[in-house]
Amino acid sequence: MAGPGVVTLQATIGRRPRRAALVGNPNVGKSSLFNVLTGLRQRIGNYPGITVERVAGTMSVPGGAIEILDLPGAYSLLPRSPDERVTRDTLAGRGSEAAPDVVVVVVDAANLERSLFLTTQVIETGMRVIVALNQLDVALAQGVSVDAAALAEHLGVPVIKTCGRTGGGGDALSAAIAAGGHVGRTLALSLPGEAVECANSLAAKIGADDPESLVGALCSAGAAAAWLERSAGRDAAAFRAARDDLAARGIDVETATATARYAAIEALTPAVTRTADARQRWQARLDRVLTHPYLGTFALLAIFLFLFLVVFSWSGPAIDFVDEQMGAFGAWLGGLFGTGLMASFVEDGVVAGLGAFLVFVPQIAMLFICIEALEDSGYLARAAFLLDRVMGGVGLPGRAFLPLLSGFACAIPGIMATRAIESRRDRLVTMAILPLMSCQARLPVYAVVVGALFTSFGGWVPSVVVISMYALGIVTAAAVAKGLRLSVLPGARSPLLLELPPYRMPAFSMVLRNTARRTWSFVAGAGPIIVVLTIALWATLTFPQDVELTRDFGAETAAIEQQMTEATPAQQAGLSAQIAELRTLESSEQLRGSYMGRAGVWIEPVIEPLGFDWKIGVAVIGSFAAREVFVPTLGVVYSVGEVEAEDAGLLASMRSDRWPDGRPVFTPLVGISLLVFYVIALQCASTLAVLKRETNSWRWPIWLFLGYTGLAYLASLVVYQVGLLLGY
Amino acid sequence: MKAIEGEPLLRERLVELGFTPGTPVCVERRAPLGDPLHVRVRRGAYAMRGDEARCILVEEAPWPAPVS
Repeated sequence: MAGPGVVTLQATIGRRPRRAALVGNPNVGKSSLFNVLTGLRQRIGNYPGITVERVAGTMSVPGGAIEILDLPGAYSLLPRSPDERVTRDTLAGRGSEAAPDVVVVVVDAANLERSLFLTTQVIETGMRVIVALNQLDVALAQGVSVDAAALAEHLGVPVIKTCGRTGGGGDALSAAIAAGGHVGRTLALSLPGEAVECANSLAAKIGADDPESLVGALCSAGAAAAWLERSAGRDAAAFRAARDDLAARGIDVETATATARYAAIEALTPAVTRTADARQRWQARLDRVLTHPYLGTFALLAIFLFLFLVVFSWSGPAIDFVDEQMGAFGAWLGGLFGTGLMASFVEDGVVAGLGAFLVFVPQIAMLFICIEALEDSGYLARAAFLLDRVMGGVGLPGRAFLPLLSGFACAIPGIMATRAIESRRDRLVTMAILPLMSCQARLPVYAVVVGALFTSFGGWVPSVVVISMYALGIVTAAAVAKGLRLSVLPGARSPLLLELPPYRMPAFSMVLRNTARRTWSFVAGAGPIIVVLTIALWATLTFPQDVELTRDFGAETAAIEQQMTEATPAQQAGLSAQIAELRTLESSEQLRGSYMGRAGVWIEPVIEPLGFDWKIGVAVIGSFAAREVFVPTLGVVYSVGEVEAEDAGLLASMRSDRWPDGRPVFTPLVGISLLVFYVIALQCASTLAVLKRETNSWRWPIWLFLGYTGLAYLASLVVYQVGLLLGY
Repeated sequence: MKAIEGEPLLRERLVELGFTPGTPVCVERRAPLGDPLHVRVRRGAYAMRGDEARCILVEEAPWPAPVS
């Protein structure tokens, strides 16, 4: 690949580079360095057409700014995953944008040989390179010290010692970037003589003028595939014949280049490293416990149980705070508009809609902080290691563990996290079952139903009900995954090669930054849809205004008010209670006549076999926009005004609600049926929108929506009807 | 280790990670239920399933001074 590019790059010497790219193996602290360089001036987006996150930022240097690209982690410039493909294409200027002017290769001092593999590949492209020698502290703890000056001399590029975790070396690195780096020295690879010979004759045969690059393509599986892709069929037969010829002569044409590169690197390393006898026993000891078949499994369960406890207990105050603030804000803003329709629109429509999703932000952020900290510590890779076999039982890769875990906060960031799964089929299975993880939006539903119907059982019953719902989601997900593997997404899982990085203390700034990023993906992904749909819901619950009422509530209220003026204080209390009751009756009739109320009544025959009446129907229909609206909708339906999940008024109204024939509407059995429905049904427009974006078609979201709705209906039907037969 | 078999792209990736002939490889442990394996090579550690690990042909040798 060396060649023409070098000339133009040499010509730009003396001009400050405008764009720099960071590349490096995964887990080498590349993103920490990126943060050190760019501070808060970052932009996260997507590469056009593919779902790989594009992270860019700007670094200010004396006299201007330089754009810094944080490219996805890669082990090699011969890509195996969409992420690695982006890295290669961006460096080659083959993507949607021009190649960067300078490449910063972040080298892991603690795994120098593997890092140099990528480094020497980058140097061979002829680009201007700077090496950031990172993780020196980790290497030192392992007894390895790296001589930066000697490394710089061998590679022919500036080598800057950095420490992404503390920000050390950041200034030196940004100065080096501003200076523009150097075109490095290509490492001489000793490839077999037959290969060179064969490349020369092939070059002559097909009229290629660069036999050197042909040698590389002949002796590497990845490079050969890339060569064939680029040639688009031309000379493919000759190329394949040349490889077969080489293979017949006993040369390993798939790995010869890679093996030769390692040989060259091994020849280089003694000159740049010193190894002392320092061993890090604690790493190995920690692994002995945390990945032990029994102890490790136990630790895994304990860690995640603890994680969920922490998330749910610590985020409580923050949730209450948001809730109170939004309530007060809505009341204040609504007050500005008086008491009419406009005030109701602002308070119950717009602000309630904002509150409906903002209230989830603290809990989601808290869960992500925990997940990010576990990820940064190196533990999540171990969790994937422990769970790979179990998840393999239903055809899921161990890598799916992190996205599925995120799904307990919100499916949207979970679906986005599936981007790290290399195989498309593995990724589709994971995305398909993500909506079954009990996300935060289901919790208020669980809380209301359990609060109204199961607290009277006392003791452990309420917790068991909630935990069973989480378990039901997981079991259903496993069954669906298995079903998909056996039907539309057949085939074995893609090979597993998961790095188990050394344990380390999570870097607080990185954890916070990534948490902010993921939480934002929830706010931006779900927020607008939830607000719009809440407003639509408000409208369908409020209009038409001219519902025909069975009684003249206005006149009756006026009559009672007339009596009030002549009543004694004792009588007045009774009369105002009568007025309140009339108002509740009136809004209930008003609601029954609204568009949504009519929809609830219309659907009642369909959902009655599940044990739901029209009021539950209204809440269920509303929830198809977003589960967040379930509790507010019940609040409206039961005319108890502004409600929270623990609201005593709502719970009492639910308990005392009766069918026309006098049976209670909410029995424990109806509660279970309702919970089961909410566990399985895909009631989240935002998730559908994100599924559409990530799979690039409506096929998956539509099928999943229909499938999960049908499954939820069936499951609730079975639960309720079997429950009735058993006499509950 | 001696050699690598298997599908070309997987073989090359294994070499890229440092599984080159002559390099010591150590199977640290197995996950519950026997799969995947925790394998160390050079200064890296990887999880791989039995299917992938079977591609790596080895001959037994005492593991040199422990690293990391």
